[in-house]
Amino acid sequence: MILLPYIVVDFQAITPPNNSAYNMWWVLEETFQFNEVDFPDAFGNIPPPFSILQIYGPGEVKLFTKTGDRGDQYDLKEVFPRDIEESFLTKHIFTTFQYSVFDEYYNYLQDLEVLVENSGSLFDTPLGRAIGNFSAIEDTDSVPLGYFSAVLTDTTRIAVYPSQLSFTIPNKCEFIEGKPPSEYDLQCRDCENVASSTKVRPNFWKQL
Amino acid sequence: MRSFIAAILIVAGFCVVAQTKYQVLGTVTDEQGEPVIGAGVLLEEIGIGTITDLKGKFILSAPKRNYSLIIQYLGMKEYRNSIYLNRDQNFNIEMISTSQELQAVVKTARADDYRITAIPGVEKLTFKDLENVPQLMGEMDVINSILLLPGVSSTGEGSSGFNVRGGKVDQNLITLNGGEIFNSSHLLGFFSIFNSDVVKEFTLYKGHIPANLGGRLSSALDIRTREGSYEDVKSSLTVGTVTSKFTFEAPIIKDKLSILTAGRFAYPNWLIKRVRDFDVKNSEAGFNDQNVIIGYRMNDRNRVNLSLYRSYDRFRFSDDFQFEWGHKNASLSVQNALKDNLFHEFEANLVDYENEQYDVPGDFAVQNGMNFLSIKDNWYYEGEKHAVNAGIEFKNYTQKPERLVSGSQSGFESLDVDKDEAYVLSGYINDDIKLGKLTLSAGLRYNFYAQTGRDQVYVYENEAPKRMTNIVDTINVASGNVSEYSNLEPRIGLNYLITKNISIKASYNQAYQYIHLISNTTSATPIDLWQVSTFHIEPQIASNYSFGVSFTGNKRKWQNSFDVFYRDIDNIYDYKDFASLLLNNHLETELINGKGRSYGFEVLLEKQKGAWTGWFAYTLSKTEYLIEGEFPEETINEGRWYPANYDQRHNLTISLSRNLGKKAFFAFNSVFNTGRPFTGVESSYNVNGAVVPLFSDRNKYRIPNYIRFDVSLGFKSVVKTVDDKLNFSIYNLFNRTNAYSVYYRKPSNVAIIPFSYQLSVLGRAFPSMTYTINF
Repeated sequence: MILLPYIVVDFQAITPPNNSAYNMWWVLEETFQFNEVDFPDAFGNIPPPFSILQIYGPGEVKLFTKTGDRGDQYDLKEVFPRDIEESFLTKHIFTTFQYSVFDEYYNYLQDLEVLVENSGSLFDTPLGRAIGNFSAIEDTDSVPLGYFSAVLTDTTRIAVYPSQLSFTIPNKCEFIEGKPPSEYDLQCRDCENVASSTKVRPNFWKQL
Repeated sequence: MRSFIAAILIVAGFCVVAQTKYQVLGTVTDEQGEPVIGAGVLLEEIGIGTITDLKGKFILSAPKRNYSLIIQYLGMKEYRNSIYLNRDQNFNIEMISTSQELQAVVKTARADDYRITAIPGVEKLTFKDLENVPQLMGEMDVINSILLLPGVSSTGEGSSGFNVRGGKVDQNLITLNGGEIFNSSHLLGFFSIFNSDVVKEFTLYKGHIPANLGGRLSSALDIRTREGSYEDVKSSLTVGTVTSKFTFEAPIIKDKLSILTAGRFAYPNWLIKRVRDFDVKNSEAGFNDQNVIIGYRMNDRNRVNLSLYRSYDRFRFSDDFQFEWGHKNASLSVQNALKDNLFHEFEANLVDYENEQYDVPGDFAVQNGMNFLSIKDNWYYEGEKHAVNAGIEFKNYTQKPERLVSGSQSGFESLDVDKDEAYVLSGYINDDIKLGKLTLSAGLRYNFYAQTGRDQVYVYENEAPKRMTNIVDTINVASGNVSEYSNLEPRIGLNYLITKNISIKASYNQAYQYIHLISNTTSATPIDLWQVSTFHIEPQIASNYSFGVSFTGNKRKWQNSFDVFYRDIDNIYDYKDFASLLLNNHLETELINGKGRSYGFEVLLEKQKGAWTGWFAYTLSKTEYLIEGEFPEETINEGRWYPANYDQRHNLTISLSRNLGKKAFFAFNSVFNTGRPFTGVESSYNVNGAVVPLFSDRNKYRIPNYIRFDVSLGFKSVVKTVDDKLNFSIYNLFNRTNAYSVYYRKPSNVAIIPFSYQLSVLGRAFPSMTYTINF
């Protein structure tokens, strides 16, 4: 068995001290930099870093609901486990969005959760369509997708620095003398090949 | 004045002649003492005849004189006796079996005009009728046989049960000696759980269901086992490539007490391991079943029968999932012939059914099951014009708790979810009336249904969909029944002989069904859950109509019938999108009810004499649901009619056989079924980075059509000195990969649209061989 290093994002939710239902939807966004291979040139140019900003865990919908008198404080462990790899060679920012949502929207999100996570096994729920709250005015036969709702948002950002890690991460994009360029990964040669990459650094990058 | 007196004397003379008729009564049995049903009985001199009834009994009336009493039955030596009828006479006749010479002339054990004279939609079969039908894996089978009849279909290899005239699998009442069977399938539907060596006869009622049978909407399949020999020790052994079986029967006290034991087991794994597909190769399957039947004849008029049955199945699909299921049945029957035309029968049945689905990667199992008890007291009177059947029946259904059993790797806690209990008390009367050319079968059944447990009823918020989050109160029922329903089920079937070769038939019945099969998948599987009706889950109600015409020729070479049928259903249940059906004690939040209808046309052309015999059966049908609730989540397909999961537009079966001399036969089957509907993924959309599949309207698409050819070659008396049979068969001769379902699956934690897969459970030609020897 090979144990790979990973970090986790835990949540602690404190709900109002009453028995009312409380529904939450958590979304995790991650931002990191990606550096191309610094091939030597006559002018000593260093390739500019690319920023990657992406939703983490797009195959999942993370929901939480509190019903009845289950208490007011909840510690939820390992909500988002994340393998540690090259993206942690520089500062890596996790942004958590906690949305407090109404019951109806929560039900809709539950349907999305089933649709996204269903693996097709016999134990899985029979699938169907997630019914939103839009309706078509003109083409009444069409079924618009999506849900319109007001939500209460709580945003938290956490940065993980390479110095906080107790091990060294190999850099596959590091220049190696004599290694032909064609043997580097496509992403290492051109960051445009990395999904969600941009040369524009987000505003919050320097705040942490 | 003289002429007036003469006239009076002549009339009086006729009256005297009419009053001198005497009755010839009798019971016809075979060498094992089992009643011979449908045997032809004839008083040769005056050409008056009849056939024996379910008890092997017959009754004829004739004037005083000498007669030749002749009795004929397929495979039996003709019985002939000279009698002088000067008083009512009673005969007990034992018929002796012959070799197969007769089969070249008449293939069926049934009367050669039974379709003309029978009430519509009744198929009574013995295994004599099926001897030459190609056998899957060499095994003669009840369910596989009736699937060749018009109006009967299944959703393909791998599905449990069968569908009759557009009915759901759970709408068939299947009874073994009166005890309900909750899953009739072995090996995911390739075999039925009924061992042909112990089955005496089986009757499928797909149109007119008599009043003594009730509790399901679309059909009744009544299976009866035989008793062991009261005279000789007998045994048989069948060895095949996939299954083997044995029977042993013997008198414990000669002519008084007999025992019959039988066992069957399957070992398909050595074949499964030879399949190239990794998942199939990594799968395992097997089943076994055992019967013990003890018969006791107190005297000629009273007998007791105790039948014990156990079955077990296991199917593991790769490292994915495993099913296990099985029945334990105990049936006690006491039969009394109180008079020659009055019979009494008491039946008691205990059934223990359980199943388990095991999630291999998750290391947890979900179990459910049913305990069933029935007691029936039945009276039968057979007169010249009336055959009256009346009685009372009590059935008790106790759902076992649904249980989550966690393994050491599962991370779950084990859990029990309490389920419900209910009983049905029924009274019924049915009269088969002969009025010249018209035969009428009229019946009435009254049911009182009571849910006795769980004693909790959830109360849901008004004007809101039924959801767990909308439960506003829980009522605890301290005493009395939790919910009750009482219903009356009228039924009538008639047959009118236009000529002796042409009849028209019609039937109507209303039926109530108090238990429902809840499936987590789009087709019935062995691990579905039986749910009794509750306060929120109401009984299903159906009105069945059928009309048909049957005709034959003077030589009875062919028997043909055309039937149309229509079924109207209230309270049909389908699941909501995203229903959570496992480990749920408030299933009403996951189910929605609506209307259903199925209608169609059946053709049966049966050639029963000549070198080639067999039939052509075709059904054109449509089965649809309409589910339109108050709320969008309780509505399917925007409230439009949509096809049921098992809807098949065309079913065509051709089954032919031909004797090759006296000791061999060749048989051939071909089956075509329209693919059943499924709900497909049409596109996808993105929500916060998650790719969400967009499903079509429910059951908008269909899996590919099902096409299959089978051939069979059989030999009798292979070794001259012994009674034996050898059978070769190839199931799915042309190696067609028939689809069982289409499903979607995606790797976890990856944002992609799920891949579609076509699941074929067999998907290849399956040759088999069996050898049977009787001692």
